[in-house]
Amino acid sequence: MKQFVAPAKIFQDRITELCYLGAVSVFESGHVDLVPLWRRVLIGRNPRITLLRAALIGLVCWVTFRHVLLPVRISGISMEPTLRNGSVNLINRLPYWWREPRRGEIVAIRTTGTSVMYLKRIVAMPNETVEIRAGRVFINGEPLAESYVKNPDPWEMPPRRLGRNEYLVFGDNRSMPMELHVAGVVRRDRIVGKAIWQGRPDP
Amino acid sequence: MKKWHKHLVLLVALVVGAMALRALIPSDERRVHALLAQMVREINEQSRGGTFSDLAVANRVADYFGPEFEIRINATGAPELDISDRSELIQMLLSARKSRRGVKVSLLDPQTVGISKTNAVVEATGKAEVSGETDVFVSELRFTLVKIDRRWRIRKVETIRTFE
Repeated sequence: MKQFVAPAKIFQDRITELCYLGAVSVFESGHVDLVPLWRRVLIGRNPRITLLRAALIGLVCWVTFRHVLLPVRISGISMEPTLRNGSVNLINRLPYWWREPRRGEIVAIRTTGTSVMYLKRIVAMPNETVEIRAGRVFINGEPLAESYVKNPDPWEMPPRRLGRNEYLVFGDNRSMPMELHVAGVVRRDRIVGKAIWQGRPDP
Repeated sequence: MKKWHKHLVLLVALVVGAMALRALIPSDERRVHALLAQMVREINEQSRGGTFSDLAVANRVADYFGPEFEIRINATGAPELDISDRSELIQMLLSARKSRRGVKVSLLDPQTVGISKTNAVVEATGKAEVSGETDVFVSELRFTLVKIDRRWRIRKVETIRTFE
């Protein structure tokens, strides 16, 4: 015997079936959205808004990773054991927009641009007199505690007074002769930002 | 066509026109940057093993320099370079091509410091990577160029000290 089903029931069943398939959505208000799920996931309900959202996300990523948080891969051993050769870090430019760099911070120093940067630790600040005797750093005549330096080579540097915008930076690995260590005095405008990963705290 | 469509088409046409104009008539600054990039490409050209091909490449690189030039590179961790003679430069390039094991040279972030009708000063970061070695040699370089017979030629290459 043939079974007759009322048209409203057919429609209701079809909607339920499509809901299961994810092709449509039925809201509490009774509104039925006929945009299939795959399209909603890929393009969204409104392609224009999706495009705008994608452009906005792209812009935010571009601004963040191009101008605020610069991703870097460390090449070289001058910051060992704090930062390892081949490891990845991020340079945060934000802190130095409202304050000056501080002693002990690991900072990125730009070259002609930011494609290649040096990562070094600030040892002496502007207007300070710095001297190195037998591998020990003296600031204004006082020895500087540097627990991050392991097995330093007996470096020697006569007293030098830094200028108004000058910082003395060194790598943490001072086990090589001073002439082979790429570091020294840099101007403030060369300091790009602070490394987010500043190494492990001292044991 | 809607009004905003017309404006959009006009804007796109303007941008494309400006880009085409820049490509067809490059400024002196773009010419200088392109010259340095081209020279780096020539330096990085793989050696085919033959002396004549290496000599041809060395000559082509030497052609980027003017009749009077000087190269003074003195950076930490790298051999000092002081060349002011074309034959000396060719000899150095030849020996470098023979001895090197896949050195890749790049000039990054070129910045034009000053430019006039006949002179230009460009600063860039030179980077040399030897295949199989983790250490990368980096040095900031200053290129002084002069225009000779409508062509830019390198007059001087010197090191800029990042750290004083």
